Amino acid sequence: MKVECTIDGKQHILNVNSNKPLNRILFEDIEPALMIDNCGEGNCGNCVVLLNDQAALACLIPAFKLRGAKVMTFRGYQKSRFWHDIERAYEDTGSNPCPYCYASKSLIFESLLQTVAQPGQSESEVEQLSEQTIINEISLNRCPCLNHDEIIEIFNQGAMYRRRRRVRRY
Amino acid sequence: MVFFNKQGALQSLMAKSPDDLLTVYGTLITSDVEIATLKRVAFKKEDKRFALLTAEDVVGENSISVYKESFPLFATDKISYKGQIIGALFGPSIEAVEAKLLDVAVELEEDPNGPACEINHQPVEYRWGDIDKFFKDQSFIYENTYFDKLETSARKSHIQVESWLDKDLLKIKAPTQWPFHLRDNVASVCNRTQKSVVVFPMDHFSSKDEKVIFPSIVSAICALATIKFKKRVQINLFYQNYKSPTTIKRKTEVDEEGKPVAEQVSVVIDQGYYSLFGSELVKQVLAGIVPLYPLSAFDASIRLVSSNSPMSHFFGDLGYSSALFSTEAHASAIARNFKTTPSSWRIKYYQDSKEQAKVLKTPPLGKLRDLITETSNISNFARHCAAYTLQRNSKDSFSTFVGYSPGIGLASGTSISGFSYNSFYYGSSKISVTLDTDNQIVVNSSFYPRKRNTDLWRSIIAHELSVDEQTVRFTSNDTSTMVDSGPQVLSLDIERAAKVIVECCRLIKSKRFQEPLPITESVTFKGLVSGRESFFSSRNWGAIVVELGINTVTLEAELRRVWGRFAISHPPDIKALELRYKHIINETLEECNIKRVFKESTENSFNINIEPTKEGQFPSLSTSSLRALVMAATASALSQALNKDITSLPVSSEELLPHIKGVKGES
Amino acid sequence: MYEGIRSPAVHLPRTMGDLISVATRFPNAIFWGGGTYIMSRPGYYINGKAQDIIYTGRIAELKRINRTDRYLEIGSAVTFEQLLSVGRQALPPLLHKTIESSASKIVRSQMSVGGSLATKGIRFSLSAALSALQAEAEVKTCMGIRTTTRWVEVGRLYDRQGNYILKSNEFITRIRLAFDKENFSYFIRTGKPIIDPSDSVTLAFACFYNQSVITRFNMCIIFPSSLFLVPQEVDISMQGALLPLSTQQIERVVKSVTEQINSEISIDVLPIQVERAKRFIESALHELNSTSLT
Repeated sequence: MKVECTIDGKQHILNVNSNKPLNRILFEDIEPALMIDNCGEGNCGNCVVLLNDQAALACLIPAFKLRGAKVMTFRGYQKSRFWHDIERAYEDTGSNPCPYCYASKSLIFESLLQTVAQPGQSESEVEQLSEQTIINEISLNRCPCLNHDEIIEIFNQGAMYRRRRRVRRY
Repeated sequence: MVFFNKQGALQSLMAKSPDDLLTVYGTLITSDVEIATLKRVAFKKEDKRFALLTAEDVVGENSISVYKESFPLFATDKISYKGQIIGALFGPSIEAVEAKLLDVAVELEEDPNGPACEINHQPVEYRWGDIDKFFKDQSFIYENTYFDKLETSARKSHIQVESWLDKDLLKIKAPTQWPFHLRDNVASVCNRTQKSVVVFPMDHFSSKDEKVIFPSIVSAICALATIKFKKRVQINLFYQNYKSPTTIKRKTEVDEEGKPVAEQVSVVIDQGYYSLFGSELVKQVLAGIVPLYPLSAFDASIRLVSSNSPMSHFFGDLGYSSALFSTEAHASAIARNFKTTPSSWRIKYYQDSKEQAKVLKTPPLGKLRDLITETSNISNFARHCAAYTLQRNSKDSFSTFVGYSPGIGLASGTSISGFSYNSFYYGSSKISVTLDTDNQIVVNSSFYPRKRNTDLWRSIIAHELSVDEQTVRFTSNDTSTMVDSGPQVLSLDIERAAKVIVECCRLIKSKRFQEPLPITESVTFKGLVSGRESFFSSRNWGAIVVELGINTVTLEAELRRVWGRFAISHPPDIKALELRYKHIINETLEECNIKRVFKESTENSFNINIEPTKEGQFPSLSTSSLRALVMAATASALSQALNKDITSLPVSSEELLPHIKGVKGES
Repeated sequence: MYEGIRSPAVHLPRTMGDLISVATRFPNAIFWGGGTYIMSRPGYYINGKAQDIIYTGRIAELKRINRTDRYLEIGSAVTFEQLLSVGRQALPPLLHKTIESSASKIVRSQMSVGGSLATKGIRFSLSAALSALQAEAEVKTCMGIRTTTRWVEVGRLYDRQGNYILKSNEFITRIRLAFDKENFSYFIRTGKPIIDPSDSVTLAFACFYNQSVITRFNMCIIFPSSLFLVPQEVDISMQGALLPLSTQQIERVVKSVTEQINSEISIDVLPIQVERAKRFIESALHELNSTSLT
């Protein structure tokens, strides 16, 4: 099946099997460096990408759902200015995920920040996420390197930076 | 079954012209059974787009060497363990090769009753004092057997290896902790000179040393295919990394007050079918099993066994953590047996001793006692210990009403790094430093340049040679220009490398302004470290407390809190080190099946502090004891929660069930 | 693309009529809700046996959530995340908790209600919760030109070993939940069914009591790959019981359910699962006592 989609800002016309998972498409048909170190079975949570700006596990997205979709891997996301909020949160807290899960956990943090904190929002406008929810979301990635306190700290710091942004366009 | 026309397929995959840029993709064919005779490997349906390589296609040696030991690259006629490599399949794309693998028929004659692995290595013994004088009175003997049962890492590792021919050179890109081992074995398998093989090491994250030997195996097969097809070849694989299961039996005689006087230790380590790094493994284990309480007599026997299972060697360390786990868990068990808190027992009985220093020279034990005291105080260890022991004695302590059965455990020890001091595994590994004509410094080493080692090396050189850190650079990343620094394991790239670099700088300083530039000095690891009296030395201490609870409803062990106090000499970046410690502690708790359950609380669940010391000259950044301390503290906490010695980790809820049911009040 | 790996035809019906037509013409095709279970199986892509796909995610009728005076109706293609977004006020607490704890938001955005109920070979927590809430499933049967519709209690979609008993020409289109059928609920699960079904146990329990008398008592226990138990005898015997329950009553319930569990499971089931089920029931009943006293 032919599938047209955008990956990291670049238009692609993929000629792949209709049920081929996105993680394999990225690894085999685009570039291996975009998607390594994952189990390919929905168990490890280490293949997170942004699909139409929402975090998704690439191993659970079949090709037939990619028509017209916008896919952003961690490499593409690092070029966006929103990445800096999370990067600075890591620096300020002195905690960050280990190299194995760095990309996926960062994208999950991004998806959480998108849910609760928009640029330019005041504190009172911010939707509150419970700490339990934040932990549950990050725990989708099964690497145990970060403990719960660190996760909450990083999230709170990142949310603060995200709210402080004044941007007109994404 | 159709016989596979190997020659035809090989020819169809071969490059049609020198400009043929198509890559050939490969994967490995491995055995599903432990013991069998290999009859034949063939396709069920012929397809000229695919080719198979087996032992008969090897143009050089069908073996991978590791110092004096070796093992076959491809199995020839005997299968000795599950997962042994039988051959490799190559085809036009990754998914094609994976799909075609299902079509490969491996004809094996299984023999489940056949001769199992019969290799039994001679035990290595170490002793002092006269052990025969002891162990007469059974009432003062305390005995337990400890199992570090972990056999594989929690997740599979991924490797991608690519090889191609560039005129006369065979070039390979692969993630590896040992580039020269990879190069030399590829040369041997492909019957080429070492100079005609160039390796470009790639970046990787291998917290459990997944990339020491396996990349050399895959690269040799990949390179063989490149020579056969005269094309670029790529192999992509997910594979499992294995750890040696270790059983340690400890028998201690104590006096009336609980002071140990003599100890017998018997260690059995299963390294799988082929034993690698055996003689060094024994020394690392010895360093871990010699306790910190002085003994009049000590008798240790360490035996390596082989079995029909995959090879296992490095796994973050080389046996030290399993050994230290048993030592610390045993100390806590003796303390509990004498109704003393493990912290006060250690403070009372841990002392410097000459015999211990012959194996592992540590900083003075006074610092460790301070750390144990501090960790106990901040965790309220004594109070919790007493309270949980009382709770254990109540009726129905595992009733669902109660909610939790808590326990708290403590462990302490030191981390070692590198091979033992007179180890032949250092070989001729070296690092060289060059002071260039433009006053730039070039460091030449096969250790992969990562922030944690490059920052350290830069700061050392800047200090020693009074230059700016920015003038220090690292040689280009391929084996045609690098020097062989040996395997990047056991924090060799930190502590030992630091000493080697200081020595290089010292030699440069002695010639600077006297000899013309450039000045290059190389120092071997072995040359620097021979002639010591002890096998290892360390310049750090650590103490950890783990508090957990067994949820009486779900019957899972849940973490409550962790406290850790560490004294490390010259840490360059304490924050980064604390983060790394937390990562390792979290990883170990996960390995031990201790769940982390979120609880609303104002207190942090981790309370870790690293105190810098000025012990010696060099930083001491090894983390080899962390896994052991967490395991020992966890075992001790579980023992208290269940009122039964837990001596085997990881432990599942299924394994805890008999202990839970056996508690007073439960049927 | 390698021709040795079959590229399945993907059918994307937009209406119920299209769905029935496609299901009739391609009886061997599989229904694809979120696809999270299908795609997480080892060898999913490479095994070359891929069946044609009927993707239900574009059928507007199946993605609707309707609320009437008496019922909440949920289309089978509604995702877990969509269901949660309805809000705590509209969903029974038991259902809300079950869905929230099933997976992270990222995966819930893909998991569908119908897929979770209809997966062959494994039972997920949603089936336990809906069974305890006495929810009903609308089942359509394709018989050539004709289609029949009937409502079936969710608990009757499975046998006691947890096997999904609907035929391949039958599919779930809606779930219907009556309101205010319980004023106490309890949900607990250990383990991750999708990763290690042998280590997972789920208990869903819903109860209605009025002036300390139990008028409804519904429990469902799941071992994902081996048990789906609705202990109806216990449910019936507990109606009319006075709260708080005595220790003996609790012990009787636990004993009765445990005996039923032991009679249904195979020898492969680990003793830890049975012990957990026992403790879950005890804990649920203690919690019921405690709530009834406040």
